[in-house]
Amino acid sequence: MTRTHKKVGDLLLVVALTLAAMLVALSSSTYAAIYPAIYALIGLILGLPLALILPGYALMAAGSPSGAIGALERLLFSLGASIALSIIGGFLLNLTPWGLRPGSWALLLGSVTLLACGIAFLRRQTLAPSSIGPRIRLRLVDLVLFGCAALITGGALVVATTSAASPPADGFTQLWMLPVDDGVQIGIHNLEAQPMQYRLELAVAGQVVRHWQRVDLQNDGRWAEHESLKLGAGVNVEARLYRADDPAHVYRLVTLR
Amino acid sequence: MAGVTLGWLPALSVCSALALLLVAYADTLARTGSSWAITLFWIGLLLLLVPCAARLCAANAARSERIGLVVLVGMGLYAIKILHSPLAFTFPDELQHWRTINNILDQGHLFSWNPILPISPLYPGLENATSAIISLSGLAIFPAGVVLIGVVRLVLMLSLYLLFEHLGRSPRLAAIGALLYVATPNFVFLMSLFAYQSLALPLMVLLIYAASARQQCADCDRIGLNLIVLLCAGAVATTHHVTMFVLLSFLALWTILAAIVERSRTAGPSGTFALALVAGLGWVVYLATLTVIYIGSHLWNASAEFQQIFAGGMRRRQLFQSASGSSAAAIEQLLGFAAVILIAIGILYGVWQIWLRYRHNALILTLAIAALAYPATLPMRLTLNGIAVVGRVPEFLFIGISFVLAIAVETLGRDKRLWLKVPLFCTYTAVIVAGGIAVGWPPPSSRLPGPYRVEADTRSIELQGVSAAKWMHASLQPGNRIIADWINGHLAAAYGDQLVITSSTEGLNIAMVVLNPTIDADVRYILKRAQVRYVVTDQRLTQELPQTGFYFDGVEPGAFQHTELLSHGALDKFDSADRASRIFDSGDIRIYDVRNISDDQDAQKGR
Repeated sequence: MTRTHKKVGDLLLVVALTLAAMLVALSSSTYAAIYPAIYALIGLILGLPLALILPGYALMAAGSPSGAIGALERLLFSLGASIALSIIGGFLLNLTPWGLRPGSWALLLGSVTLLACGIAFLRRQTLAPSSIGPRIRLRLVDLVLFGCAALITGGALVVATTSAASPPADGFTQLWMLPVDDGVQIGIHNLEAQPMQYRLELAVAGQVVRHWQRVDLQNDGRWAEHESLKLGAGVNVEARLYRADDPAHVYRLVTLR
Repeated sequence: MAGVTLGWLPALSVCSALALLLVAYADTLARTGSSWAITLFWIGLLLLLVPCAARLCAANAARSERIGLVVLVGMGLYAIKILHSPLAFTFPDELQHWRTINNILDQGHLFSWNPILPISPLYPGLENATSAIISLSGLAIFPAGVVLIGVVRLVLMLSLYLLFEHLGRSPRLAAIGALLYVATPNFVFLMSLFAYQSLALPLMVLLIYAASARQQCADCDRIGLNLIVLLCAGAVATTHHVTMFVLLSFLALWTILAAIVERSRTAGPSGTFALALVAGLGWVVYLATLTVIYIGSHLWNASAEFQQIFAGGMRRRQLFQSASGSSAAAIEQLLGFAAVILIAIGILYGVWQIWLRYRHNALILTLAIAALAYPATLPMRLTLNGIAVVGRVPEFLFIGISFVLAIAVETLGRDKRLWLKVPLFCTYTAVIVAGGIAVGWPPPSSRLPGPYRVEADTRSIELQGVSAAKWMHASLQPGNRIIADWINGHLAAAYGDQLVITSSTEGLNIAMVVLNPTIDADVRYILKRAQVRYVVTDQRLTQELPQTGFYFDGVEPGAFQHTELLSHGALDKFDSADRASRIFDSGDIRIYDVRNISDDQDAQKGR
């Protein structure tokens, strides 16, 4: 069974979404810092369609206005054309002084979408109404099953994410030392997956010149300190890190020569 | 008003979700080194695939249900890759593109140098599309990449279905063809990577479908389909070199065949071919001349290697064996051979049917010829350079193979004995998909996440390496000239924003700097010539032979033939050098400042 109609509601929706997405993208540099969470959410909801479907939908509406192309084909062409337009649009933006920035992307894709919507509107006025295919009928049980599938898939993602995010059993500590104008900068980063207690020595030409008896760091904790030293040519500076539970062995070692 | 229902699709989507849960659990087990993980992975994969295959085989499924099932399988297999790496890109190819997109986001312009994949900035289609998503949605690089590749996977499955439906005039044939496409050896992982081919190939299939469909659409709608062809031709030409060459070959063949067998038609593919030719070759000539060297060198080396194998002067590459000598399980080897044989038989029968029923359709004949090319590529798998080329060819040839196999299945399936044909089709599909994964990429050791392995692609990318690279980004100036092994080099370039030096870009065998047991005149010469600032060493490289066959690149001494473990002495030699400073130490990974050696005025003379 088929129905016939002549519509512009879809074009109005596309125009509204496009204008909203352009507004958000163009104002983000001013207001995103003030309302970061709201802007992130709105940007996601409006920005993704402008990048992935709206320009293609509008182009297809302008180029193939009769409605003879099915909904599935239209979805496919909308996605494909939007992505292809982004690819080619990047080269156009590269030629401008602004380059590939949020504002320039919004202007480019938004302008193309609005222009195409205008053409689509005009072309549809000259065509006879066309038929559209039968609709898919969703039963309550279908919705329940799709809901279950979404929940289980979400669960799978949680399982995968949790295991990927869990720290490795064999953790490690980073020790680093870099020369600066009047001495050295030393840093420690604890990635042992547990709180750690360290001792640190700084030696110049074999003589310990500074001693940090106890450096406590939580997991993922960082410590950095600047030490003023006179670094002459050929002077060997060494930083030795010890674990509190194994004070006899140097755990990490860095040198400047 | 009555409408069509989705049939078994809702129930099978629950089944597929359970399959994904099993795969997620397999990944979790694999991270602890459990041997049960791989079994669970295969069970999950079959649970995702077989019920959908069984339903697609049925005669009474509605078109919408078939489309839903095809999309379900395609997206489900993409989800397997996401579950493997749900938090970040963990494959080296993805890090190569990370560097390019990072450059674009930093500078706002294209074509900046990428030290780990110099050709990537010349084909920035993937990065352009990602940049649009990031700029408009505010997403970070990783989620933006996941969304983009997910959307193009949807485009691929829908394009395949609609192309096959357009050609075969049967939703059942189309759905079976699109389902069989997932037997492409690289479908689950390689084609799901954040890499240029993952984007270009679906656009290529979409272009072929649009070019085919526009021949029969109403005049008033043709502009839209012409726009699709135009946009996709430009997008493919500027996104991926190999896809562009394959597209040109395909369109050329289609054009020739159309001229021979479809003389009465007016709107042939010649216009599409001309457009793609101008776009593709124009891009290569105008900007991406490096492409000729990049692809030509692989083909040239493969050809030379092949000649050497025939002349008996070179050992052929062992199938199902990694460069370090570890072999795939016997069952996987069996599945791999079985898949190739079953596909070859299916191709022969399908091509015969095509000759009987469709020999006046140029596009179908083109697909059949593409399918027949598949057996011809198999001998190339015996060469190291050949596998680098033909290892990525099946995803193109399978566009033809899957249609030809669908014709074969559809013809055989006219038999009314449903009780027989459903199990047969399910078994056939399961074997060729599982066999495809067995012969495809990545190797078994990288198919699931797990503890660190030496130079084993995704298995080598873990917290210590990533943290060291992030330290470089935070503590060193960007763009320092660095030497690091294959994986740490990718991390340093992607996350560390460093200028990683490679043998191909410098014309020097940079691996010698680390692999040599001492800092001799050769090492000093390379350090000076390449103006190296930092050298990264990783003590874990001494644990086992490199799984990819090399530590740094394919031209290092002993590449693909390493038989002895790397010595600690080679890695520790900078500690005893009086002009090298160890500025970073995280246990395994050490970073040395070798500026004083590189600046040494005697280095040149010493050589």
